Amino acid sequence: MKYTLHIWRQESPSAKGDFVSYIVDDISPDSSFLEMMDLLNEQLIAKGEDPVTFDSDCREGICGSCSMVIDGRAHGPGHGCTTCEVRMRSFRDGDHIYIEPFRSAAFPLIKDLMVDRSAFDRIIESGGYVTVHSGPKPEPNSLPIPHAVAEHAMDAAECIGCGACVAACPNGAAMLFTSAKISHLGLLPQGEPEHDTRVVGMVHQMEQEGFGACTNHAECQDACPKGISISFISRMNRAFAKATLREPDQRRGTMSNQ
Amino acid sequence: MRLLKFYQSSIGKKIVAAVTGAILFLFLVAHMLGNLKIYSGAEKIDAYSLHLRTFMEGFFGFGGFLWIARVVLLVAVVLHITSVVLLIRQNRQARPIRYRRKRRFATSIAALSMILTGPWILVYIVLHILQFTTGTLQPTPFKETPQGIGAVYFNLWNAFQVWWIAALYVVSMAFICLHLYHGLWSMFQSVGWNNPDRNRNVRLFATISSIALFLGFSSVPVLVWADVVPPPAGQDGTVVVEKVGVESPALVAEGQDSRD
Ligand code: HEM
Ligand code: FES
Repeated sequence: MKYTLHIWRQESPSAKGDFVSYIVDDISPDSSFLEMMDLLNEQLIAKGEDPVTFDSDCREGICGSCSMVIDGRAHGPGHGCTTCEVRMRSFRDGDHIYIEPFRSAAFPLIKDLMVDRSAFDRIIESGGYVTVHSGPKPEPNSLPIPHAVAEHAMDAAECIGCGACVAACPNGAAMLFTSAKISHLGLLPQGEPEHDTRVVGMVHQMEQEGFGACTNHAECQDACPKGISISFISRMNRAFAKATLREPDQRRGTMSNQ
Repeated sequence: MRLLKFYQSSIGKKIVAAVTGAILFLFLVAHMLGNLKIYSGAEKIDAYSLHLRTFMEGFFGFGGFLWIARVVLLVAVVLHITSVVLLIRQNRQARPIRYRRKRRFATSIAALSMILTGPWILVYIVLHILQFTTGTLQPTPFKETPQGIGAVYFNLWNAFQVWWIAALYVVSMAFICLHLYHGLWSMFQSVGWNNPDRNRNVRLFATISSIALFLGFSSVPVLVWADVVPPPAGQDGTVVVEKVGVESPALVAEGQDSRD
């Protein structure tokens, strides 16, 4: 199959970028999108040109590295799949395909289609952890968790942190990611001790990074390769309101003030 | 301090927009039910207008209760607009470089047009108050009752004889209800009262309420314009009345007659 690709090329974070068009031919409909990109890069290298820079690692939809906006859709056509899982049969012979990087003020562009998503790591650092018992390993069944609760937490824990929610959101918000990370720990008894500080810390860091605000378009849920539900955003909002407005638990250092 | 921290985050602003939006929605429901009294005749709706001012008069004085409601609504409108403007600014900054190919998959026209229907509502509210509450704008005959408040039935009936005024009201109602179609679902999601078991019902509530509000509100301009609603006493529908000043003693007297 033959395609005309219009790919965003940008030398460096500060350079001016633009679309460059390439024609790729003899592509098997069963090849993956990234294999097609590899073929293009081989051709470019053979011609002595600079290959297109893009992220990828596992190529099986679990690492969350690949990140392209294909024809205006984060990760490209289809539901519940990452860019690496998209097959070329999703396109018609002769199609023009537009490929852009994830666009967000909080994801600075590094080169071509590769963006820096370490803002997500900093959000995790601000509360995405649990207190663990550092002595002998606890008896696993000493903390019973109802099956439904475990499954609910697992639904949130499916998030691979790819950033498609940010790329797809008309406001560049990271609510789906942040709420998934808050919920998968917050729903479990192990995450209970830091429940409130986690919500406040992670939401605060999310805002600091320059992500946008939610206006409930639900584009993130549609683009999420793991099908994470915006109900986690609703849950986060309620938890945030409770945690910020409630009387603080932390009284140390202020007890002698009255 | 806690409130400040809450409001500093976009989630706090969103919840303020949702709560103030809910207050404004409740006002709209009450307003629409009040408007429907036009179908019970001039006496009923003019008495209702007076009642709004004499309600708890002993405690708040004439019009006191109404003023409290107005202040609450004004504060709600100001907070609503301030919050959404701050959110929109944050969102603009969050995507400095736009996509060349932009496509939407999940959202609705109502959600995408909030930023247009909102300001339209604001302009509409101002014009609407100038026309029927203060009487500052009088494109059509306007008169007041002896208590110095607008003669509701007379003013509405005359205004909606003019096709473009009726049309402007219907269009504005369509916009308000489009705003609410998204807003009423959105507010549950924003404050954290939405969940997968409830979502269907919340969507249904938003759809039914916005359509019901649209039908209730726009029935008045449409049915008056279509001559279904009879003209006020002393006026017959086919005659185009010339513009009469508020001070006209004849009309004030007439207004009184129709109430007795
Ligand atoms: C009768 C008056 C109004 C009512 C009943 C109303 C109702 C609502 C409701 C319920 C929401 C959802 C809030 C949330 O989920 O956080 C909302 C959002 C919003 N409103 Fe209003 N509103 C009114 C007037 C206005 C005005 C005058 C503006 C003009 C600036 C405006 C602009 C907006 C915007 C931009 C949003 C955010 C949209 C989004 O979340 O996507 N609204 N409104
Ligand atoms: S490369 Fe790992 S998810 Fe696509």
